[in-house]
Amino acid sequence: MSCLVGTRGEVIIKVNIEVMSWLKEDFDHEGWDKLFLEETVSQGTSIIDLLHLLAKKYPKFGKKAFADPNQSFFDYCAVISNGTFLSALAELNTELKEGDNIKLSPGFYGG
Amino acid sequence: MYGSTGKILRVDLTQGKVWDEALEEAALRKYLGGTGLGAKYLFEEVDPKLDWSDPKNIVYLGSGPLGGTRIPGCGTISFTTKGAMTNGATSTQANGNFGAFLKWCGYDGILVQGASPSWKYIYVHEGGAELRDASYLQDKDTWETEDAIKEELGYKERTMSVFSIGPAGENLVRFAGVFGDRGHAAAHNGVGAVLGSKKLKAFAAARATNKLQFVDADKLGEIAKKTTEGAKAFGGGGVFNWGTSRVVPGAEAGGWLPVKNYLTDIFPEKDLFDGARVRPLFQSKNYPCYGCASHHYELMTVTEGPYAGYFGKEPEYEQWASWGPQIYQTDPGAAVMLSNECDRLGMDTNEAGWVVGWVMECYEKGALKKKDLDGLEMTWGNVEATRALLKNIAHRHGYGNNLAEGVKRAAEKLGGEAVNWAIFTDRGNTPRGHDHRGRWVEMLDTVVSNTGTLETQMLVKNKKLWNMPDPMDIFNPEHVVAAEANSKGSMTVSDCLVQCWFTSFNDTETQTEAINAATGWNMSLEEVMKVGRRAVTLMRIYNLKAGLTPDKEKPSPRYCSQSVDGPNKDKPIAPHWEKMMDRYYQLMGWDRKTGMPLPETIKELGLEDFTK
Repeated sequence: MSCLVGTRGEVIIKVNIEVMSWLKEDFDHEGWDKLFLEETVSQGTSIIDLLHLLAKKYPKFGKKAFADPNQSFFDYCAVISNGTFLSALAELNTELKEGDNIKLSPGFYGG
Repeated sequence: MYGSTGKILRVDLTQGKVWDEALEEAALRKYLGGTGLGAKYLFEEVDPKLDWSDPKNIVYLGSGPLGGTRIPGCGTISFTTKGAMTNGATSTQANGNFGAFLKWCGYDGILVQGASPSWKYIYVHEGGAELRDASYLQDKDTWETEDAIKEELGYKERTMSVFSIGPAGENLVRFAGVFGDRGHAAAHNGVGAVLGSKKLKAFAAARATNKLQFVDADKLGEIAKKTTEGAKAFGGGGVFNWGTSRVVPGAEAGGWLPVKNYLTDIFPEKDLFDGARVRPLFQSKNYPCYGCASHHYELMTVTEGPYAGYFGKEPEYEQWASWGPQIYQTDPGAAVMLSNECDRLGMDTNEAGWVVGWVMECYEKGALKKKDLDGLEMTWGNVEATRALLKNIAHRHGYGNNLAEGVKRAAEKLGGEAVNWAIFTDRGNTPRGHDHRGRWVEMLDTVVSNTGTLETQMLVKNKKLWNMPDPMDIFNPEHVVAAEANSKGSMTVSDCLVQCWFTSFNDTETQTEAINAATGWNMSLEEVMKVGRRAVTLMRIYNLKAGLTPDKEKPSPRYCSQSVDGPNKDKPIAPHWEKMMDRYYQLMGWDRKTGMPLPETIKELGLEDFTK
């Protein structure tokens, strides 16, 4: 498999992100059509790193998802990685791989 | 008395009498109102051994100390009774305007006892209250009843609030509910069937002059603004801006959308049900509850497909779930129609969805055939057959008579393998419109809940205050049990105050400020939290006396089965169940064998008189 190399010689990987439901508004996307993002990150980046990266790129998301810059956890939305729901904090430290599919969905409880 | 009218309306349907009954301030402080007061009345007045349909059963419809204030979500009402699904205590709430109007008419609540020989409705107005003839309303649906009563009494839209039962309640369908203010529902555990057994068709409250007195009205105004701001911010503002209209796609992504009676968790057409598509397409218009600025509640007209032109309320998430993925049909217009038809007939959409999905699975697998189902071809997604079946259930026609007993009893009557396909708990209730195999806290809650529906869940703003695991792993058994046990009572505080969860988000701290500004009681946070736990524990004791013993706290095999696909396919709850229950009892302070709260729990909550 070929891979991209960054300016500092680091290996670059591509991951796919789908944003669901009203969370799309945090990514400046109105309407019901699908919102897919493709991000390139350096090898070794974890899922939580990716969320921080998205937070910087999309300030509305960043403001809500990391309201407290020192927070040690992430519970703003549900994260589904390659079809598996990540429920434990530790799972967010999983290292991303080329072609990973990440879904972000609003947390919701109630009727 | 500040924050209260100081009285309830007592209605004896057997004797055809209504009268005012004073409320004691000490009881109000101990129970607040709504569910708490209802549980107290139920315990004091209804023998737990009686059947739900016995005329001696009562129905308490109540507001709370914040009812009629400007705080959003305080037009809500709470019904408490011995319910038809579990034959135990229940409490179920509906939003809208009734709670505020009732208090402006001079009552904190209405307590109904006895049974009438002929159909009646209760009319509450500025000058008092009366029982009126409802014989002309028989077999009218819930929207028609609302229109007919307003026309009879000369009220325009929004100048009167009407909550009624439909044909399902009249025919004692076990999962009949009460519906009003254009489709708001107090739907759980058969409160509509109880009203049907009493021949009480409706409650009507006029919009009267607000003469309520509060200790600090300015402070209440500040809290109203703060509550609105809190609702705007909670969860990124999704519920405030969209209600539950955009939940279906996210629920599918998270693996908790019920699809095809739990046969799969994949629903490719989920985006068709996204509120961002449906609201503009179906010309949705906001129809807010009393004092609420959110865009939670809307009315809409279907504009495409075979049901173009159909007008009704926007389905709530649970209605989209029942009438879309659960019966595996993909037309949102059809879901709008089925959801409104179910409301109009007066049935709980959740139970109805589980019933129809189960029938479709039985039909597919040959356990039920066309001839068994009065000629209906109950294939997956068959909208017109579903519509006809709902009517048959509401009128107890043909096989609908069996289904009117709810999915558990219908499945047990059919017997064989079909029992294993039905989703229920051994107490006789069913879950909300979720696949709880992806939401363990809610499965545990549905099984142990006193009310026959969700009693506790994750919708708690002050996680630290209620000692909830934070961060929480929703598939970690210890976290799940701790979340359920520690936050027990948090939502019940809202139900005693009778405030909508989607405005308060069960923010106990702000609610405590509001109680004190309304009443001047100067209650501590701890005292308010205890009110919630007290109501829960009172219903627990009542239900144990009613025969809802610990052995019945079990999910059906399908309900706790392992998902076959989707994001939670590797997360079965069943292997953890028994240990989770042991730990849950320990945290709740309940005896593991008898289920009874331990003496120290009872003493702490001041319920000693109820265990004698």
